[in-house]
Order: sequence, then C-alpha cells, then structure tokens
Amino acid sequence: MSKGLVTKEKWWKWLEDKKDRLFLSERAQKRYGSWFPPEVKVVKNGKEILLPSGEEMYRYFWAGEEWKVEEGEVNTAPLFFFSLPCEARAIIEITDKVFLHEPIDKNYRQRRKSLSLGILACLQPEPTCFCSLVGGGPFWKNEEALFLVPRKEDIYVEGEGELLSYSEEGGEKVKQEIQTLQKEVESGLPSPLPSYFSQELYQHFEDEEWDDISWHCMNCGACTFLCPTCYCFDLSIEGRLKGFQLRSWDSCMFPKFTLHASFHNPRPTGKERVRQRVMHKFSYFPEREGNFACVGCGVCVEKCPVNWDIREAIERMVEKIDRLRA
Amino acid sequence: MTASELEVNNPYLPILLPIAEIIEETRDIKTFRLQGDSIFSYLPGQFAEVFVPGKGEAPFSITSSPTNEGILEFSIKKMGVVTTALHRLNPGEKIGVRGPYGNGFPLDKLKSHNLLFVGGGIGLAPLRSLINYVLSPQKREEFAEVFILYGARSPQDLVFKWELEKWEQREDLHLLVTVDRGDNSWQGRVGLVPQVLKEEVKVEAGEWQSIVCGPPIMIKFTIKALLEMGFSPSQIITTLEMKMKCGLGKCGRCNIGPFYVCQEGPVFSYDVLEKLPEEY
Ligand SMILES: Cc1cc2nc3c(=O)[nH]c(=O)nc-3n(C[C@H](O)[C@H](O)[C@H](O)COP(=O)(O)OP(=O)(O)OC[C@H]3O[C@@H](n4cnc5c(N)ncnc54)[C@H](O)[C@@H]3O)c2cc1C
Ligand code: SF4
Ligand code: SF4
Ligand code: FES
Repeated sequence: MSKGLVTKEKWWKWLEDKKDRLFLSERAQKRYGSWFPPEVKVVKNGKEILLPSGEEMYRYFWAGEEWKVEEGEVNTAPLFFFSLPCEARAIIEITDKVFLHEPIDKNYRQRRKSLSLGILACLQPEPTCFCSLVGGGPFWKNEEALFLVPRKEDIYVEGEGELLSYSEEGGEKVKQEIQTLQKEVESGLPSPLPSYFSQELYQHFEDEEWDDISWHCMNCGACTFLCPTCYCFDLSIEGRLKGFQLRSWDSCMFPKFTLHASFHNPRPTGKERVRQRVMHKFSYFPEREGNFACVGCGVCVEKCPVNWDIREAIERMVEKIDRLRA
Repeated sequence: MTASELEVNNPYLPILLPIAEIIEETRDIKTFRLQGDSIFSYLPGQFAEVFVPGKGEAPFSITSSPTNEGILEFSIKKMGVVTTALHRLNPGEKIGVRGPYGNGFPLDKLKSHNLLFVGGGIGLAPLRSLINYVLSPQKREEFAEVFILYGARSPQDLVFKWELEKWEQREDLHLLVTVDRGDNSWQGRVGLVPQVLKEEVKVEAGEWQSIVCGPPIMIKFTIKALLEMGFSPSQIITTLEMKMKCGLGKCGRCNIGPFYVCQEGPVFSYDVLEKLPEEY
C-alpha cells in the first residue's frame, strides 16, 4: 500500500477516461460533489449497483416445440464507486459476505469483480451517524479500496493502482495533519458496543421490551429499502410465453415476506418483524459472519416517517442487558 | 479467467426436465415423476425449487429416493398460483428444477437404528424419500427395524395408496394407517396420529430414532407424545416448512433465529429446535 498527495489537476486527469464509469453515493455527493464530473451517476448506495432491484436472473421462452431457459447478461465493464466509509463497509463486510459465500451468487460476483471502491473520509458526521458504535469509523479503510481525504487543493490518498502513480510524497507534515483531522472528527462519537452484545441480545428474544420498542413503527419498509446493508429480496416470474425471473428488493417489515401458502405467518405482527430486523443486524448476522449487519450510517433514522430510531432500540437492549449482568 | 472461475454456475438457473408421469393421489394432490438428470443428485430430505414457465416457482420436497436412479418425484398439493399451474400440466411437458437444497436427513445418525416414521397428510412426501432409501436392496441392511405410522384427515386424503399397499406386503416393516374420520367403505383404523402413536406403537424408545413430518399442529402433538413415550429430544427428527424464495440462504426470509431453514434445515433434530425461538 502507498500513500501520497494528488493535486487537483492530476485528480481530474485521472478521472478523464473514467467519466462514464463513475458512481458516487448520494451522501458522498453532498460533501464532495465538486470533486466529480457532471457525468457521475449518483446512487443511494452500493445496492443500486450490485443488487439492482428488478434484475434479470434468467430468461425463458417458448421455442415453438418446448421451453428454453438461458442466463441473463451482466455488464462487466470496470466501474468505480466512491462513497463514505460506512457505505463501503456495507459492501465489504455485509453484502459481499452474503453473496460471495457458497453458494456464490454469480450475478453479484460478476458485478463486484468489475467494481473498484473508493472511500471518501467522512469529515462531518451527522447527528444521526453512529458508525463507531458498530465497529466502523469516519476514517474506516480497507486494503482493497482507495482511501481518500479531499482537502482544499489536493487529495490525500492511500491504496494501490494508477491513481497512486499520480501522487507525490506528502511527508511527515501531511501525515500529522491527517492524524489530527481524524482525531478531531472521531472525538465525541460513541464507543463500540460491548463484545458480548450480539450473544446476549439473542438471549433476550422473548423480552417484553420488544412490544414497546416496536410500538410506533408502521412497518412501511422505507428504512430497509434505503439501508445500504439490507439485502433481502424477492424472486418473481414475469411474462408468459417469454419472460424472466426478476430479483427485486423486499423487506422483512412486510407481512407477506414470511406468509406461508397455508396463511400461517411466523412473523404475524410488527413486533416480530421489528425484532427480526434488529436481531438480524445485531445478533444473527454477527453470530454467522463476525460483524454487525448495520454500519451505523443513520439513514434509516433520518428517513423514517415516524422517527423510529434503531439507536434507541439498541440503547434500551444494552441497558437491559447491562442491568442484568450487574 | 481461470478454470475455477468459469465453473461458477448461476444458481438460480433451473434445468428443464420432462414430466414422465403424473399420478393422481387425492382430490388435490398429484405426484409428478420427472425423468431425472445425472447432474441433479440429492439426498433424502432435500428439496428443490420447481419452476413452471410463465407462472412461477415454489419449493417442494423431493419425494423419490436417490436409490431409485433416473427419476425425480414431487408430490404437490394444490394451494395457489404455482401449484394450480402444475396441476394443469400433462406428461411430456417440461418444468424447471433447481437444487437440491437443504441438509437432508442425518443418514449417519440414523444408520443401524430402528426407525419410527410418523407422517400426516402430504407430510409423508419427504419421509417417503427416506423410507424408500432405507427399504432399497442396497441400503436395507444398514438400518434395523422400520415402523411407519401414517395418517390423513379422511380415506380420500391418504397419499401414495399404491405404495402403502406395497409396504403392507413387506415382512421387514410395520405399517399402521389411520384416518381422523372414516367413511362407509373405510375398514381401517380411525384416530388422530398422536393418539394412535401412544396407544398402538409399543416400542422401547431407547433403540429408536423417530422422523416426523406433517401439518404444524400434528407435529406439535406428535412430538409431545414421543417425549411422553420416552424419546429424548435428540431422538426426534422433523422437517420444517417456511416461506422460501431463493433456497440459497440469501433472500433472508426463512430463518429461525440465526439458522436459514433452506440451508441448515429443513431437517432439524428436536434438541436443536427446542432451543430456537418459536418463530416458525
Ligand atoms: C422445504 C419445503 C418443502 C415443501 N414441500 C412440499 C411438498 O412436498 N408438497 C407440497 O405440496 N408443498 C410443499 N411445500 C409447500 C409449497 O412450497 C407451497 O404450497 C407452495 O409454495 C404454494 O405455492 P403457490 O404458488 O401454489 O401458492 P401461492 O399462490 O403462493 O399462495 C397460496 C395461497 O395463499 C394465498 N395467498 C398468496 N399470497 C397471499 C397474500 N398476500 N394474502 C393472502 N393470501 C395469499 C393464495 O391465494 C393461495 O390460496 C414445501 C415448502 C417448503 C418450504
Ligand atoms: S422504522 Fe420507520 S421507516 Fe422503518 S418500517 Fe418502521 S416506520 Fe417505516
Ligand atoms: S443505520 Fe440504519 S440504514 Fe444505516 S446500516 Fe444501520 S440499519 Fe441500515
Ligand atoms: S429461502 Fe431465501 S434465505 Fe432461505
């Protein structure tokens, strides 16, 4: 891995041949929009690129005598996605683990292999942000991605590849400046959840607290659609004599999500569904994959029509667990 | 691209297989026998996603036994869109299959034990795969005694009657068939499965493994009866149904606690199941 400073001119030069293959997250655009050309495609988060809703999984058609099926095509041209640390983490630590683990999801893998990630340091955490609570941070980085700190006249860059060849050695002074900046930004952010949280939370599955926690959520599903880590999907068949199997985003907030053909529903009310959403992110996923399935981006908190706040649910369960441990 | 990268298949793509035969089991259940395919090898207790072109896709237990090479069977109850479309098909038409999915029955754990099968209604379908596996000439001596208790709501609702007759004739198994309500021509047993189990199945629990499948309510009372008969939770194996879409542990809807039923199930031993949240 190398580090260095890339001047504005060189940055634009590097971007020159990538203009039509650039994606930028909506939240990164708000902060760093001026660093990108007008052609950049702005997306809500990585899901829109890697798991586009309404994706064709395969095609089928009546070939006169019999049915035929064939694979859909996936665009494999190299793409670049620039986002905030939490949004990159949603890909590397959550959706990659689901879709690249056996049985491998071929479409996701093809898209992912042609996607390079750029992480833009988060210099202004919002009041709804809590990345540090769930193992991330405003300067979170990963060896596979470029890490960038845009400054007044240049960009501090860590990583590998072509962009680094445009960079100049920043020296001790720049190193100090970046470290100071990181300290400043990180101060005042919450400290990580205790390591026992996911296991203990599971022990509280039957807790009456869930009635109260789930109470005013309307189960509209807005949070899950906007969440960068929520990956649950529906598969449906569209078309008669020719058509395709479609994959579209789905939500654990909807009653139909788990409704059996016999009308039995294991998660019949909002309580079970809210509990599922929290449990999956904070207990089941960590137990299986080793990290939370929430990156603390706060988007769900910001966008919920009734101000349902996942931080409050977590706080209440932490309090309860700690009270019982004491 | 390296060779191993080329080998990644699209796991959602079904293979199309022709229907060789359709057997009408009851008013609303049909068995579809497909001409098998060598690339589709499976274990008893696994399931597959079945695709009806232009209609949809749904999960079904594989009811044939892998020892019966070259065929693949599903018994399907008419419920909604996909199952109704399936019931309208004729032999010769092709449907899609992808899978097999799930863990299947724990064959190693069952080996050399006495096996008590308890089935209700169409719940016999997954059990039948294991029963015919155990009864096959290649495998029979790997297992000890076989006892099958099967029940349905009425005589008309009994599935695989043609096969029950064959099992009846065999010397190496006990078969009890019961119905909740008889009719004028029914000469057999009348009584609910859990009740018949307690009253008529006299076995020393210690040497047995039980395998249970049926409607949720029947499973619940059967497990209760088995526990009363001295079966320990680890001697009770059951197979569950959840709403499923992908079968791959990805679409996120079939979990009970941290377990995906499509991957780590649908077969569970009751000692595992009783510790899970009751969300199924
Ligand atoms: C592992 C596994 C193994 C299985 N094995 C078998 C088997 O061997 N044999 C078998 O027959 N079945 C089996 N099933 C069940 C089978 O998958 C379902 O019966 C099947 O998916 C029904 O599909 P459908 O399209 O016909 O029904 P659907 O069209 O999905 O719906 C069924 C019924 O529900 C109603 N419905 C649908 N959506 C709604 C809604 N939103 N609100 C109200 N009502 C609604 C429909 O009107 C219809 O009456 C298995 C399931 C699993 C998970
Ligand atoms: S938490 Fe808010 S956004 Fe999410 S389902 Fe409930 S009401 Fe909708
Ligand atoms: S904060 Fe909300 S939107 Fe962001 S990852 Fe966590 S659950 Fe998803
Ligand atoms: S059916 Fe999709 S996760 Fe199990």
